[in-house]
Amino acid sequence: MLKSINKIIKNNIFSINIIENTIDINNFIDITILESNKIVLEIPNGYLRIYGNNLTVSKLLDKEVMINGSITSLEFK
Amino acid sequence: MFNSTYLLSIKGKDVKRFLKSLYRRNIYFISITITNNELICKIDEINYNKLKDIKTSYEIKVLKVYGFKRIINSIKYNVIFIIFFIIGMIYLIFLKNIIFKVNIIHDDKKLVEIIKNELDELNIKKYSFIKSYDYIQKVKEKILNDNLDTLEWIEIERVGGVYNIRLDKRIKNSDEKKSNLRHLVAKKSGIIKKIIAKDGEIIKKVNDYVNKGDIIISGEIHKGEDIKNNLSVNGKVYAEVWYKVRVNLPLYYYEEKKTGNDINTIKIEFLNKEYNIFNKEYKNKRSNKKVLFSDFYNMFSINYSKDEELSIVDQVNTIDKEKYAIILARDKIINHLDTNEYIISQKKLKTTINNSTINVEVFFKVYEDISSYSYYSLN
Repeated sequence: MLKSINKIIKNNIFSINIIENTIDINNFIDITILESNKIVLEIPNGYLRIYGNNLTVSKLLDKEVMINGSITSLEFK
Repeated sequence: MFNSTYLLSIKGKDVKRFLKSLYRRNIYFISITITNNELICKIDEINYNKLKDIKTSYEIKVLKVYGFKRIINSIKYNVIFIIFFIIGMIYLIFLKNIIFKVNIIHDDKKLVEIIKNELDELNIKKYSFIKSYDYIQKVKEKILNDNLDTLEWIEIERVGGVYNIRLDKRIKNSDEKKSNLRHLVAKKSGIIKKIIAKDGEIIKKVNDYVNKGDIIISGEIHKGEDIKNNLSVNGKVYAEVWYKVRVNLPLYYYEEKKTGNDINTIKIEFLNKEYNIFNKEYKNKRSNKKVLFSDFYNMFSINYSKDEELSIVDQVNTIDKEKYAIILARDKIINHLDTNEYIISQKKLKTTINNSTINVEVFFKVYEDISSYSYYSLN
């Protein structure tokens, strides 16, 4: 119980939310590649590759990034 | 509350790469729009300050500032205008509260001068501050009290920066200006019954008939044909005065009075005719009924009714009416008599009946004070 409350308060869990052409990623580590058809993010357990067209970053905070564009696939490695 | 945000335009060779490097330097963005070689982003103040410290070949331009900083910037930009505006407002408020003119409206220059001096003392003068309503009321009261003999009324009206002061001079009663010399004269026509003279020369005798305005006790004291002295006469004269009083009354009299008896009963109503089932019926009554049952067309109904018995007076009595009219006529006379005055006699003159009214004419002889005074001067 306490653990779950702690998780909610600290909010340090890696998460991905996809809404139509927007992808919101929380608690990522770094941006490795930033291109219009490929964005690679370093995440706690490896890398996340996002493929698509006209990909742009619309928000870039300490641990949150929001990416817009027509996303075709996601790949964890 | 005091956080500000900046809308920036960053131009350069590879803005995406620059964005990555900024992120690695812990500079974060609230929103980002990337076009060809331009990065348009929104950034908060802390991150903007970090960004300012970075030395780069990329062109960074502030497009817009939001929040508290924007207010500060616009104040800085318009500081001269704001200062002049505030000074202007203060000056306007100052001018609005200054008296520029005090108009005392009256023909009497002496009175105007007195009031002007008093207003000056009370600080209602040119180039002084406008006064509050309460203060003005106090000033009015004070001026009126200070000039009780000369001033009847004062009104202080403010029109912008001008005070209009309207005065009403006290006009001394004309009686006061007259001499104190007076005759005792008859207020009404009548036959003198009693003369009480404290001073003066009695001209009329008891049982003399006098008309209204006739001198009864003169203020001029004669010796032979010469006037020896002039007095202010004091006295009282009682006389027999005649009155004719006419009273009109309605002839027909109708009165409904509750006797206090009532009964609760149930009635059947059929074709607007009532049939009492249980109790006796009053001859004259007032019914409060409640419908218990009724058919669709209201031809038949059963009602609960509370009947109150009434006594009805319905009469045409000319004799009683005549007596009553005489009493009313007498009351009319008595109402305006003082303690020493009384009705000597009365006589019914005539009674006429017109349609539904009775008209009674009564003649009265009244013992009444007829004293009045007429002032005169030696000139």
